[in-house]
Amino acid sequence: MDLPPPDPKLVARKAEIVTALEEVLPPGTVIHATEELVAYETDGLSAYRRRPMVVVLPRETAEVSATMETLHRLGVPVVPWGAGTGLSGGALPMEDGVTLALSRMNRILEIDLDNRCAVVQPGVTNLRITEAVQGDGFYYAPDPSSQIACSIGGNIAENSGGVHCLKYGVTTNNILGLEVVLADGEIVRVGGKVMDDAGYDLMGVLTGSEGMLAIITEATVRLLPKPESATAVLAVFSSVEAAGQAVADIIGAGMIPAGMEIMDKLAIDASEQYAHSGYPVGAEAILIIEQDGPATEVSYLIARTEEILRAAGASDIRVSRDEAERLKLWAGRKAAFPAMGRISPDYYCIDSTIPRGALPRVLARIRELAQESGLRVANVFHAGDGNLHPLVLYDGNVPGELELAEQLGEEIMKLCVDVGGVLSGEHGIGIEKSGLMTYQFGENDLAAMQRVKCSFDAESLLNPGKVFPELHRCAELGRMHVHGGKLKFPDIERF
Amino acid sequence: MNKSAVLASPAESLLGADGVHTSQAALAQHALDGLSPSVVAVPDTSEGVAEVLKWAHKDGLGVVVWGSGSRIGLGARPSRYDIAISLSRLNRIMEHDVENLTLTAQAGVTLLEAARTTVAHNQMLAAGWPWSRRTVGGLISANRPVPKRLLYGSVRDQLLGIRIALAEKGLVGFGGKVLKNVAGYDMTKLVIGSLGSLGVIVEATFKLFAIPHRETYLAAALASPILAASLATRLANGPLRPACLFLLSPLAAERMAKAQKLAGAAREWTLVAGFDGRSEAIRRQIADARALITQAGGDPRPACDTIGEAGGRCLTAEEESPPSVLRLRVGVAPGDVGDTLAYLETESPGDEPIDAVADHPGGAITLLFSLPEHPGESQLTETAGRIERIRAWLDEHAGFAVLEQAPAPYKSRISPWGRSSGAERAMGLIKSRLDPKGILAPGRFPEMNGHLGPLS
Repeated sequence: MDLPPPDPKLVARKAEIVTALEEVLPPGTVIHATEELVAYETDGLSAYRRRPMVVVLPRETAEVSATMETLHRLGVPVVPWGAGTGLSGGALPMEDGVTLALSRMNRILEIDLDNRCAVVQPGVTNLRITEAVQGDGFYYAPDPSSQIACSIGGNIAENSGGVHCLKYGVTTNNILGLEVVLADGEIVRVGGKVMDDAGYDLMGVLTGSEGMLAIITEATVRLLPKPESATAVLAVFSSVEAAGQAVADIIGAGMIPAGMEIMDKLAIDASEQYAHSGYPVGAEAILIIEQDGPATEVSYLIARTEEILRAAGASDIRVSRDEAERLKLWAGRKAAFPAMGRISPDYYCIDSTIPRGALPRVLARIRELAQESGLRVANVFHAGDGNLHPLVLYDGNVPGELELAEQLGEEIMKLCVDVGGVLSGEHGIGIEKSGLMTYQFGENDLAAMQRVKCSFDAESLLNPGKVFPELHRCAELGRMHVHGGKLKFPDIERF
Repeated sequence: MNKSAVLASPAESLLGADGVHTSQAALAQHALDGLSPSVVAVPDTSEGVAEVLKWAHKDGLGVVVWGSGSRIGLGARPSRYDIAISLSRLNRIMEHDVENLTLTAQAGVTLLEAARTTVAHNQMLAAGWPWSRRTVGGLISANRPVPKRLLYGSVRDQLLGIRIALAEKGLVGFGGKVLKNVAGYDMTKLVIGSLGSLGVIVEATFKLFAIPHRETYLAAALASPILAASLATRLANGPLRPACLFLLSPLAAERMAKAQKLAGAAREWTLVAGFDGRSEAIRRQIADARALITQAGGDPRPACDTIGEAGGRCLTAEEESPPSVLRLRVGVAPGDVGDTLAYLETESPGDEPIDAVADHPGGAITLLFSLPEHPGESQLTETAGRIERIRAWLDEHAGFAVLEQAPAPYKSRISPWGRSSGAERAMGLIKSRLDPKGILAPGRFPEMNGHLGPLS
């Protein structure tokens, strides 16, 4: 895809912008030398790169507020940056904008086990939260596969998921409160340890808003007591479609396992070469299921799971006998993405979600589409919640392969929407899927979202160019006609 | 010509004669805080709702939406009230996707009707009691507490998708029937608890759960609310998996005892723990819970396998409150529930026993005050002062108190919402963007007054 060129007028004001920021921020907070900016050129969607004009690295909320107030006054766009692990290009910088990187805001501020929550700064990594409380028998449930590196602020901005979201929800279900800085620098707190306060659920709409509504500067996250026991089952199937049907059968039987993941032959073989988890090399598909809870409940659930898997045609079933075996069964799944590097120079990860009953036919159609395109597709996905991750394998050095991969990805995403699914389950829209938003949403749906955007950021300075295909000017939504870029009555107050 | 006659004609042109009621009885039935609407619109399609809103938007008519009416008392007196929209004819189950564990229903479907549909496949909507006559639209609009929130989550955790009619833009849809969805802003969350002030919910999709093999409740008498709350924290934070943990004041426990044998007969602080699951697992959890209760100095009662409608009503304080009851919903952090109940007990004038039920995991306390329906000035002043004292104490503990129901004289003296959230500007802007003329639930919602600006 073509990225829009930077605004030369803004680029020409770089020195002015740097000076204004340095006036309100401590030394060492603003970086603008070319060699320092390289690290911020791309997030996890590495096919696209842009060097930010300036990067700001605040340590405190007040510094974020001062940054936003300054940039708002100067009319400079801002791209929030967590850990740069996002997969949809949501943090792709702007050559005429400032990247606001929150990695230095990385303190755990409070752990409150009586209220089952922790208060953290946005730069704290996902895994650190669990590490901080696991000694007391608690954990933070959403576990994206990048949890060792991704930040909680980024998780909230993208409403991230993970393997265990089937039973315990995605990020939005595990956040109790936020402190955010609005586009003009105002600091606002929503939610917290006290739940269900009157007023609109701003926390809900801010979570997953991809940095387009506000900057997250603090989060109160829910902690869960660790389940008494957990057992994993690995079942081998003769096809991905058969494994998909087994998932639908288990959900249809009313069970909500802690996790249900499918891997196909390509993914199994690559993962096994990489992680040596004892996966059945050559098998067409495996389904990994985890049941957790009180031990007696888990025993029953595992027995019932085995029954359903056998009825669905599983040829081999392995049940973990202890914690080490359980972790080993998961290790291969967690290593699946990095393992792809062994079988393909590049891959393009798709992230659509579909109703679970549609799994078999969608998986079959993806196989057909891959064959038609001539590209290989590996499947590693959160089958329990219908969140597909087809990995389109390509070589970026071969002219035209990236475009072919993107075209195949688009067809798969449209297929998912056609069966009642959505474009993205956990990676976000970013720049990657913004062009497809009109395929999922009607004009009025998008207009309503745009009205929310304008409520928070009337000048469209926060992460512009992401998520929506083409934003109307906020002024247009106020039924003002803008001709030739000129507003009538330019001096009257508007928002 | 009176206003009813003036508005009836355009309403009938949109909905037909059977979709518009203007009889005195219909208007009185939809009266709110002493105000009656001019017409009651009863659309039988989502498009009909959208047409009524477009008309109301064009003519600047104030709209209040009615589900079952069980929590219509929540919110301030409307500043304009021309049209009552009743969703009673939007009562169809659109889809029960058994394989996908989802239910899509029109907003006027009651929880009872939803349960009748899902039970055939051993599935349930866990957002409320299965016997409830509340509508799914009302449940979302008023953000009603979920009885077994600890196990199944709140309304915001169970709602997957929504279709709403906007004041100006007609029907829009957000979310869907999938659990993970990050395509665009999560607009479903915005309408939860919004009392119809942003748009009218016409359809909703919820995730479903399997009906547990067994549900069992265990009650225990404890010497004080602090001991009861401390025990609740231990039960919630340990290896057991309770589905709910309720604390009942002695007065509420007595009512429970009359409705259901569970709580015993004595007037004591009572903790009720509910467990859902397999029989073997529940038996073990009950045994472990008993041990914890005894260790905490409590007196466990015989476990009970069902509490029925009467028991459920007691636990969530959902009795049909007579008009003379003032109902206050207090929110605090779960860890502050014990101290708050203890404060409320000492604050009560003349050591009068308090009538309180707390959903411990949600930090939600429902306080019921039986008051004279036609009070004198001194009674009004005393009650308003008491609510003000409670709110001042809660302010210091980051809590809040919302008036859910009160006889009209009290409601005119006591702010229904109490404190402001600090996010008024953002909320006001969202309201003004989605409902530019402010026709939806005008004046009823908090944070709006003073923050609505003109768009141009």
